[in-house]
Amino acid sequence: MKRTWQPWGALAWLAGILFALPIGWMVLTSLHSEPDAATNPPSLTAPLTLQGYREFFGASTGQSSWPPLVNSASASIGSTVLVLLLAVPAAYALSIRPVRKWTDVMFFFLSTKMMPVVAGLLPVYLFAQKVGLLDNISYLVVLYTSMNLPIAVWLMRSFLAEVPTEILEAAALDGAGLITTLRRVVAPVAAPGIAATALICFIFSWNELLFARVLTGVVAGTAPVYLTSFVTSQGLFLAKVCAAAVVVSLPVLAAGFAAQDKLVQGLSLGAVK
Amino acid sequence: MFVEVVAPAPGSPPPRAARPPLGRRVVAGAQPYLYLAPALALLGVWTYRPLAQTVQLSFYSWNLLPSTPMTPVGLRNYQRLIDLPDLGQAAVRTVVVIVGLLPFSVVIPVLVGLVTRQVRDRARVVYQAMVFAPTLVAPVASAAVWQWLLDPGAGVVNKVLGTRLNWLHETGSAQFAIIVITGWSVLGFATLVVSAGLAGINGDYGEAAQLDGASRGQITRWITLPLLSPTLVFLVLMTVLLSAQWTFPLIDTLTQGGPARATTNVYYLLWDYSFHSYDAGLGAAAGVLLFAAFGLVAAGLVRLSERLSFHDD
Repeated sequence: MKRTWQPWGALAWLAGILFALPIGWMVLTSLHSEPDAATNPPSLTAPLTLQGYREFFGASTGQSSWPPLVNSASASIGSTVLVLLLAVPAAYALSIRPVRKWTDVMFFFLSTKMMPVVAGLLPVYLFAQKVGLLDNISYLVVLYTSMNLPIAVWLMRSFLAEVPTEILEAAALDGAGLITTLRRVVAPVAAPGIAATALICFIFSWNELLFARVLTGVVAGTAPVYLTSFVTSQGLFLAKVCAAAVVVSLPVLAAGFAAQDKLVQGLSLGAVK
Repeated sequence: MFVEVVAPAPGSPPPRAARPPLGRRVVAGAQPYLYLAPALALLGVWTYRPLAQTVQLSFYSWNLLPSTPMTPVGLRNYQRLIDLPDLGQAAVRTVVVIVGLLPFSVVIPVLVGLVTRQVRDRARVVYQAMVFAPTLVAPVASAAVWQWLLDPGAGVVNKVLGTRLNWLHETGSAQFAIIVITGWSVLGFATLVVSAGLAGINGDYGEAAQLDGASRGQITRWITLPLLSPTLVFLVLMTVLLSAQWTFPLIDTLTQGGPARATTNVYYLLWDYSFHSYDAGLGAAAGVLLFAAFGLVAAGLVRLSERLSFHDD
């Protein structure tokens, strides 16, 4: 096609830059000293410093910000591993060796995502209270697993459906079992898609606020919960708050950019249709 | 070439290929179900069971303290919900949020998707990353950033617009601000979904139409958009069902449902009943109604989408 889109393209780029500006501002301010951070709009020429980050990690207060980050990492990584362990076989049974009425099963998975989470939150809280799992990170691992499982199964199914059936039949004729088939035949084709799915699960768990807010406290509080209190208590120290926001966002930004391309592909492989 | 095959004598059993014994066949047949079972069980236990328990709770009056007993009150919680103006007002605000988010979750992503479709590889990845970034940033982090951007004194937004609004603390503008910030963070994801939908459209149709003399606008209107309809329906469905959920972290950090409940939608109201007012019965009853309403809306939209979607195959 002829390149007739230039004016539109320029507009799109302008809009895109405007769109990403708040994040650019967040990063820039996090690298300023507090007096420079207070100027608005932010000065582009102010000297850069890591003071905000040092303060966030407790340089002057001595209060470490590591525990919530570690909590978030455990909850996100733990639940992602569990999701993969459950979703790969499930997706296998929905694509490569589909059960009868597999579309109904898919619909069941999806239906759990259509329900308002908050409607079932009270019993989830009461159960934790009863068995002593309040403020315990392992409870979040379980809940995040069930939260992400439908999306993972959904995406993974489309990635596994990509594996050519002839190769699978050949493998079956050679008497390969599930593990061998998965490792030698499915994994090479579907691995990038599975990786993208894992990254998405990681992102959703890392950013989750509602469960974490209700079910955790001082011990198991996650990064978003900590950030909420940080925003309200440290609102005046803008560089520090921005540094905190950057630190909390970095893992998900990295994961998201890594997964981005594969996600477009995964969503387009009939996952939406 | 012909090979002579001896016909089986009538009455004798047909020759059989060696089949594995019955036990193993049953195991092999059950295998895919076994692969599904753990996942299905987990979802049953952690999403459907809590909902069933919510229904049960909605018939009791209780303040969440283990030391105080739960008293059965029949349908009185539902009666209270209907008598109080909260739920109706929150429902209206929820509709406002949904309608307000549709441009961000459907209209703009389609425009961006169509415009960037022709951008070449590397530039496209950079562009997508730029639009995707707000989706990735933790909602609480974006709340922190926007709180400062919307600051009544020194905020950039007021400077650029030449206004002196206290965006998050005035009843008129708070809801608007929440919608825009939520839209800002949802747009990247929706654009990704649209890009995926566009990538899945077979280019042959467009080329054929172009050979027949169709203009770019005509191709977009009569070929691309109809083929994109399943994606669009999916995005509308997501927006209707999840909008209130998306706003939660922002409302919780920025306005706590205020000022004067102006940003309290059904989702936040439910959280407020259960975990601020500690009124378990009322919260549960609201949860049941919310669940029923969302279920009806979801079922209706799914049926509508089957009618409206235009499929390639």
